[in-house]
Amino acid sequence: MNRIPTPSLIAYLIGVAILSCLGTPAAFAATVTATITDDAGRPLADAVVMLAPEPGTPMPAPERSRIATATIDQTDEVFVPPVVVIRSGGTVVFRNSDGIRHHVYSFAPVRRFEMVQAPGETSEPVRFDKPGAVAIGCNIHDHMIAHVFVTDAPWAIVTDAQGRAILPELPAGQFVATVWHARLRPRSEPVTRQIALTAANASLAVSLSVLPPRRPRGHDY
Amino acid sequence: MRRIFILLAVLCAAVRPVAAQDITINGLADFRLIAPPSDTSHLEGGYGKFRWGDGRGSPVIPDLAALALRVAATVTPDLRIVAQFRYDPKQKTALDMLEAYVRYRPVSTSNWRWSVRGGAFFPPVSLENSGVGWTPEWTLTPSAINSWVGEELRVIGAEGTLEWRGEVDRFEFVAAAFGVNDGAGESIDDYGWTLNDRAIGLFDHIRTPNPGGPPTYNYQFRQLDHAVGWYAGVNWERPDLGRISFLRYDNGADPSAHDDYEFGWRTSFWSLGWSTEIGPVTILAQGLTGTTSIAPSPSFVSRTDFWSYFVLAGIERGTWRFAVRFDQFATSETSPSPPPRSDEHGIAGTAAATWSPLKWLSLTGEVAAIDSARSQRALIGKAPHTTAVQAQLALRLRF
Repeated sequence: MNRIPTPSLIAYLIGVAILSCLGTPAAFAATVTATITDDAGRPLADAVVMLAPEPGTPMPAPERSRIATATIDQTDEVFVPPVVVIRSGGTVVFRNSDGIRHHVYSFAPVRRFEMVQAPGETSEPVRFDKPGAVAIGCNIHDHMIAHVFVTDAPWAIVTDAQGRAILPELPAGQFVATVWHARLRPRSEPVTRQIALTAANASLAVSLSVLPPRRPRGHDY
Repeated sequence: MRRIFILLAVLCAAVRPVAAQDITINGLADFRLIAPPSDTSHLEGGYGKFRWGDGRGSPVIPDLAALALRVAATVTPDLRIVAQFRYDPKQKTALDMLEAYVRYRPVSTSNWRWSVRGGAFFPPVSLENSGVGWTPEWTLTPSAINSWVGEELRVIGAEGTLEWRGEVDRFEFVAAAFGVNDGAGESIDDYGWTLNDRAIGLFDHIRTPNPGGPPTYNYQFRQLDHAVGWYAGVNWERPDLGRISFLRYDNGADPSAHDDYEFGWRTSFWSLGWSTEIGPVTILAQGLTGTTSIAPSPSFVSRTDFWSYFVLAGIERGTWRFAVRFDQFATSETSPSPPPRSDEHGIAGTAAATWSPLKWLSLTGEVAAIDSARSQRALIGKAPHTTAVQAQLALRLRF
């Protein structure tokens, strides 16, 4: 025997139907595929792509940021990955997978710190409160360089070897995209673009004027 | 030389506590096939300007160009000991030391950082020689400037560096005091500029041109007076300009001092270098001008002025690396000695291609040519002007 719906259940179903018709920001999930190249059109790895709502645009921030924490390993006297991006207030864990000590440090005004890491050691999370680029070095091995980019933008990601970055689960609206790279010319500002998300998929192509890769000069004496 | 032994003893004492600490060892084995020029090399007592050349016109010869080790021990995170050794049967001692020093550099999280190092090390002149065994990075054979630095100069003393690291610009101020290098300058007077990748070891000596006679030698690492040598310089680096290095060097030797082996060669020079990247091309450029003199008696003062510059362009493409370099050089002697004097001028061109299919393996082909004129070639019955070519194929193994 079929049950007759109660009045309260009917009201609930009608409410769901109305909300579905109106469409809420949470229901819209767009994906932005960013492609970052240099002046010559070559893919630019390790660029930081950030998306923030245009000023004055109300928009829910992601409930749980994907960029609250990051890990930088040290292997074969190289920081891996060379660039990470985290939210302001986020943390970075440093791990030493080498068989020798490293002395991780930063003298960047945004975040100054130093720590000696024994072989195999993993650090306590290092907190970065202020936005900006933080160059990380090793005081023992000068050729080791990494960057932690700290941002207030709700969405951010680092490009892969093909210069590509995919930002999923974005709400609809007007955004400002900002792109930073460690080899931007001195005192040049990160490049910004406006982007409107109205469809499920959007693309962002940005060409950056960057300096040539820096070759290490001399050996660590 | 006794001071060098004392220095080594101090270093060995310092090394002892590091047994359980970090030690990194890098090695280089460099096997060559060489098509040498016909002139006898300056390393064999002739006036030839390349490393190889036996005067007999050998077509192609095999040789072990380098068997070198670089040992770096991190005693504490702030204290590091570095030593470089090379095995070469042609040295005075088959196993010799190129440099050995202790560096103390405490970490700094401010814009300023300082460091000191003491021991025996190369002065910070070369833009090219960053490899194990003080080998050049782009070519097999370094420029005339850095061939000379490798042959005659070594700092046996202490150096201090103060760095200022800004958001964009970076400055390094460096100064040093040293001794035991009073023989530096004699070789550039004796046979002038060369292209030679065998830096002298700390216990070695260098042949002097003595055609037809018994081997005679220069002794670079001697202390003949109580004077202290010094150098001071500044490096400026910014990402869009590269690195500019400026240095003034004076070995402080008393030109009237001498012993049974060596005169005090008072040698001083200015050096200006620039390294940068323009697109995919790395540019190295350096100029050096200086003078060396001896005055064994008030009536005999000999002075040799010398200068040289080079420009190198290098590019990497996958597993390949290509480099070309142009050198120009000259010396001019003022002396009461009868002619021919140590006057010379010349140019050199070098081209090198390196294939590195594996991280530990590379194959390099290099051709270098020198067109020069030196008056003293008359002493061996040859015209001052000569053109010499040296071709090499190197198989290099690294670990």
